[in-house]
Amino acid sequence: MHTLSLTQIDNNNLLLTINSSFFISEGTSQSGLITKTLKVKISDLQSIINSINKDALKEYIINGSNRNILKKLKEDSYNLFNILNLYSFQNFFSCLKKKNPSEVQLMLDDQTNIIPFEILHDGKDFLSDYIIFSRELKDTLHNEDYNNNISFNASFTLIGNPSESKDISKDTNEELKVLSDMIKPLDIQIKGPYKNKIVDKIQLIRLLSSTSLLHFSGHYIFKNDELGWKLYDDIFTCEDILKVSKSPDFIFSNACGNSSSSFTKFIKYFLDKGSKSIVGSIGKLPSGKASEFSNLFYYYFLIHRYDVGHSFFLAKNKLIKKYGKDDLFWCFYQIYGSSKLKINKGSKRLNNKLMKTFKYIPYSLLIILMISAIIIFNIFKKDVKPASQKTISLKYIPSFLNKTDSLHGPGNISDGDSIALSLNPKIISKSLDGKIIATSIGSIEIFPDKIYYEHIDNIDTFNFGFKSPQRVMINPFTQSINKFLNYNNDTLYISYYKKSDLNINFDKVEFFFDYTNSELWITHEDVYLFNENEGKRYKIPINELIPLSNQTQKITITQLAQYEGLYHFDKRGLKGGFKFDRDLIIYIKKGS
Amino acid sequence: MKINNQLLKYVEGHLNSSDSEEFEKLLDTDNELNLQYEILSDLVNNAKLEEVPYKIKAKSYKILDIKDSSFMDIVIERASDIFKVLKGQDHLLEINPSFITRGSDESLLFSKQMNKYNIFCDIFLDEDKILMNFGASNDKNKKINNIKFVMINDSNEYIEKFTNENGNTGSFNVKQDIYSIKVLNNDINIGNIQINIS
Repeated sequence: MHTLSLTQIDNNNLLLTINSSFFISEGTSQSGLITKTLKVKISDLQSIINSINKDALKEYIINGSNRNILKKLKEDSYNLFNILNLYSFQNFFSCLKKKNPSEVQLMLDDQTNIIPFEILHDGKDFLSDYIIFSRELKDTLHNEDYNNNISFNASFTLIGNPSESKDISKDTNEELKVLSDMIKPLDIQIKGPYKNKIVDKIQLIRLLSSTSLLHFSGHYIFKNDELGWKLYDDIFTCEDILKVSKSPDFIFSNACGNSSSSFTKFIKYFLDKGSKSIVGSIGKLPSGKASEFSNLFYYYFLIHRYDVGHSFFLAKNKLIKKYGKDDLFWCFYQIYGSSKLKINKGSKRLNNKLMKTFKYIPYSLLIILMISAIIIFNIFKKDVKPASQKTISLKYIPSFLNKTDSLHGPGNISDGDSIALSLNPKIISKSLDGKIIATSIGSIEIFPDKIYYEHIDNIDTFNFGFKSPQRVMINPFTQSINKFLNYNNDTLYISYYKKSDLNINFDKVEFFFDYTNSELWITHEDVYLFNENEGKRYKIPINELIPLSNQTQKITITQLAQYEGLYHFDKRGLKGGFKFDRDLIIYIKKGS
Repeated sequence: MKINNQLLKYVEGHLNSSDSEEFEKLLDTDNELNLQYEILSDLVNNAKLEEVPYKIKAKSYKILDIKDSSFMDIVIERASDIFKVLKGQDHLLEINPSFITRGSDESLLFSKQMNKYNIFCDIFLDEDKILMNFGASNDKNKKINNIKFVMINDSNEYIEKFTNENGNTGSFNVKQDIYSIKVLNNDINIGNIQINIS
């Protein structure tokens, strides 16, 4: 971790200190510490800071994404970068860039905290493109507990729109719904969501005092010389924070904020009361984007168990990729306290231990153990989660109208994993026969290829693998093979096809191929079925395959005997390599 | 008095030829008058004219019942977190932001056409601070660079701001006060704004 400290010495001078191991390796400093006095008045910086923190963000809120705003922001941010003499540390920033993302802890006082380091521009990139910044405020009362891990059975309190403000109620409701659906299958205790005016000042003090993680989704306002989280006819202020016995380890204030000394005080009071990490904002936060960002952040933080900094960085980049850099939502958020805070991977460790144990138990004993486990599981069904369950939320599917889409899962999805999907009921209506999931928009259907659907305890569960038939679409003209469902590390890819489209445009051929671990390959004219274990190779001309299929419901090995050839490994000129076990359905694209 | 009037008319070239000749004869004989002439003609020909403060100009307009189309008069009252517009509602633009935000957003945008320029004045609250941002565009809505806004408050404090490439001056803090603002393009006055924030 590198630290960059900027504090005010007096009205005319600032003290800049950078502590980094890069300086030692470069030989520029033996201690790794470089200090510089800057003859800069904070008051003189106010107008350029306003231009970055206020004018650009205000214009974005009014006019939406705009290339000119981004251009002006870059100019101002680069000017401020130079005014702060940071250009003289180009080597330091180059080293940080090489290790993208690097982590830098900013040590600031309430005067220098107004400087938007995250949005500064080094001439090529914004600093937050390659640095995870976290802000530490001078004179914060540090908790003696420096442990950056939150226990996996920690409690997580969700609070939404306590002011009952109509303008944001749809966004906050949706945000909390997705978040609570995401938490439910996990090893974290959910508290709430507490919504609307039931969250009064006393309730909020009690909730803050009794939880490890807290998500606040609502308004932050200034009224009658008071500022803080907006409640129903009230404001939760700094004075109220003092009444909290111990503030949660992690707080996400998904509300407006700013860089003023009053907001800094609001954050600092939480840090003084024991919070280790706080995600807050610096402007009039756009409500819809705020929901999207926070849900994506939690996806990395809760499911992947990345630390706050990396979850923040990944969520931000994901949305930048989706909306483009012109969409300045990425400028709004900041991390206070530690960026290293994370939730322990409690259940995953347990899984690994279980997996290791199972490896050495004979299969017969394993079956007995599994039957016992099923009985126990059914008795304690409501309290015990399946050992290998991982969760994906469908919330992150951009649109169900697209023919192909992807779900980003908990990492390393593999055959046999049980995936719990939190479905958004507004988008999807489900048939419970375990065969088809249909969207309520149009009549698009997903074939449950290699995936089986169950609905237990309001969780839609999909089991991967082992069950046949698998389905695949081939286009001999383009020599392409498309899977209905595919996964690669943490991403599940789903393709949707209308059944009517399939019937009209494709020929269906079904095999019962007697072997496991087989492969399908194609050329423009032929279909190849390989089985390395048995040393079998079948080459079937496509124009013969379809009439063969019409004679029988499933083509068997006996019927393929005439196409059997010598097995060899040379797959040059072939496309595919689709793996399947025994049952296979191929949809072959018809010629136009 | 009559001679003084004639002296002024002579200096400004308003006398007819016969009166002018007669007055020149008088000048030749009267040393004191000649001295007065030299002072007055130096004043008229060489002195730098000072612009009349807008307050005086506005008073004259009022007496003469002249409506100044390049003048924007705004009076607003601040009560905690909101503004109340007491004067200048006609210039107020309705803003429909692209995004709903999660904070209180008290912002007023006034606009007036001044000599083919659209001049904007954005006044907004940032917690307890009042911020102002001026802007300018032409009749084709193109943002105009380098328009100067010269502000003087009641305590004679002077602020000067120029618009940038994006057609605005950038926001800056202001106090609750009365501001007389001259809007200039290449030092030519294109309009005036008076803002009273109480």
